[in-house]
Amino acid sequence: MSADSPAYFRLTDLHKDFEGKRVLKGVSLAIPEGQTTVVLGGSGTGKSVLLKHLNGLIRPDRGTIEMQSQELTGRNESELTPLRRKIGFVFQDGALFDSLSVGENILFPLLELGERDPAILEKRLQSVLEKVDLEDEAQKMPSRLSGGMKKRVALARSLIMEPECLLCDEPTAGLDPILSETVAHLIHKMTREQDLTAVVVTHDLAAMRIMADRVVFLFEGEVIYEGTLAGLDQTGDARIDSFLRASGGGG
Amino acid sequence: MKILFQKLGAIFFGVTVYLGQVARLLWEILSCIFRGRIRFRLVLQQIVAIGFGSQPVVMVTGAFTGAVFAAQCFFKFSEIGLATATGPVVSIAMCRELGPVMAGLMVTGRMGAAMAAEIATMKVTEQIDALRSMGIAPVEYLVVPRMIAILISMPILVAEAIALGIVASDLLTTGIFGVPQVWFRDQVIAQTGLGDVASGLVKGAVFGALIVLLSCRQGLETRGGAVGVGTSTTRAVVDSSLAILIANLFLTLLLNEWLPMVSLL
Repeated sequence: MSADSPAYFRLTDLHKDFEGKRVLKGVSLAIPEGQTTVVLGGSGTGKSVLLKHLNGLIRPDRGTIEMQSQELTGRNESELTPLRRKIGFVFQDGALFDSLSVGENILFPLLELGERDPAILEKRLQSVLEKVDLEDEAQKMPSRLSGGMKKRVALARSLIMEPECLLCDEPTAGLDPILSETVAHLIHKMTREQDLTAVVVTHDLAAMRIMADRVVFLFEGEVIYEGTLAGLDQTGDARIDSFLRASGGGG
Repeated sequence: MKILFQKLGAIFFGVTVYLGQVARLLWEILSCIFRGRIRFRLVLQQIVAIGFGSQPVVMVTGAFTGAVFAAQCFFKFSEIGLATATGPVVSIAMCRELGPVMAGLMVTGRMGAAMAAEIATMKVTEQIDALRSMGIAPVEYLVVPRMIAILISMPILVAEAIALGIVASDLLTTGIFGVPQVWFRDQVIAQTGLGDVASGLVKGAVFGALIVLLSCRQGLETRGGAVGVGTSTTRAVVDSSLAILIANLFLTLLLNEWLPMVSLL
C-alpha cells in the first residue's frame, strides 16, 4: 500500500447543487487503489453526496469522475451496471430490504446475477456470515435486528459479490462507542483481507483512526485536507483543528 | 396581475413536469416489457397481492352497488310501469360504468396506496439506491411486475364486480320487489351484449395501468422522511382516483363508438 498507488477513482472539479444550495464546490481528488480513504467532515458538508457520485447514484452538475481510468459521468444506468458490480456499497442505515430475511438480503445480489445452485449459495452465505459474526441470524427479519447488526448485514451483502471496492456511508453512525469500534475493526479487517479499495465517509474520529490509510477533509463542499492520518493533526488549519477538538480527537 | 401569471406559470410547469415523469415511467416500463425484462416470480407475487387480495372488497363493492342501483331504478321505473327495465339498466350500467369504476376506485384505495407507500419507504430508506448500486433497475424490479400483474388482475376483478352486481340486483328485484325472475333474466340477457362486457374489461385494464403508473411515480419521486411517505401515499390515491374518473369519460365516448350497445330498436 504505497502512497503512490494508482488512482482507483479520480474526481476533477466536481460541482453539485441541490435546489440552489451548492453542496460540492469543485472537488478534485484521487482515491488510491488498495487503500482505505476516509472522508471526514461535519454534518452537511457533502460527504455522502461525494460518496454517491463514485458509483453514479448521483450525477455531477459539472466535472468528471473516472473509475480505473474509465469515465463515469456520461454513462447511462445500464452502462454503469458492469462498473457498479465491482463496487460494494454500505448505506448509512443499511438499506436492507424489509420483506427479505437476513440471509435473503445477503444473497440478493448473487441471485440477481443468476446464481441458483443451493450448495454454492449456502456456502457463500455461511462464509460471509462468519466474517461479520452473524452465523445464527440468517433467518431473522431486518426489523428484529439492532443497529449494529443491520450495519454488519449490509456489509455482508456488499461483500458477497467479492467487490474490488467498498464504499461505506457513515458505517458507525448511531452506534455506541463499543459497537462503533467493532464495526470499524470489521471494515478494516475486511478491506485488508480482501485487498479492497475503500472509501469510508464518517465524522467518527475513533473509527477513522482504526480504518484510515488516507484522510480527506471536506468543509462546506471543498476539500481542505488530503493526506495521511498523521498529517491531519498537524495541518494548522483552524477549521480542522476546531473539528478535531470538538470531536474529542485533537492531537 | 404579475403574481397571477407567476402562479399560473408555476402550475403549468408543475403539470408539465408531472406528465413528463409519468411519460418517462411509461416509456421505461414498455421498454422493459418489450426487451423481455420481466421477473415472472414477482409478477405472480403481485397477482396474489393485487388480484387475489382485492377480491373480497371488489366483490362486496360490486354486489352492493348493483343492489342499490337496482333499488333506485325499480322505485322510479315501477311508477311508470317499467319495472322490468331494471335488469337491463343495471346490467349495462354495471358492465360499462359502475363495475370498472368502482373496482378501479377500490383497487386504488387498497393497492395504489400500498404501492406508493412501499416504494416511497424504499426511496427514503435508500433501498432504491441499494438496488441501483447492485446494478438492478428499480423500474424493472418494482414497477414492471406490478404493471403486468394489474393488467391481468383488473379485468378479472371487474368481471367479478359486474357479475356480483347483476346477481345482487337479480336477488333484490325478483326476491324482494317481486319482479318475475324469467322477465328479469330474459331482459338482462337480451339487452346486454358482448360489447358491454368487453367495454368494462377494457376500462378495467386501463384503470389498472393508471393506478400503477401514478402510484409508482409518486413513490419513486418521494422526498423527505415519514412526512414524504405520507404525502406520497395520499397523492397517489387522489391522483389515481381523479385519473380514473376523468379517463372514464373519454373511454366511454371512445368505447361507445368501438363497442356500441345493443340497439333497442
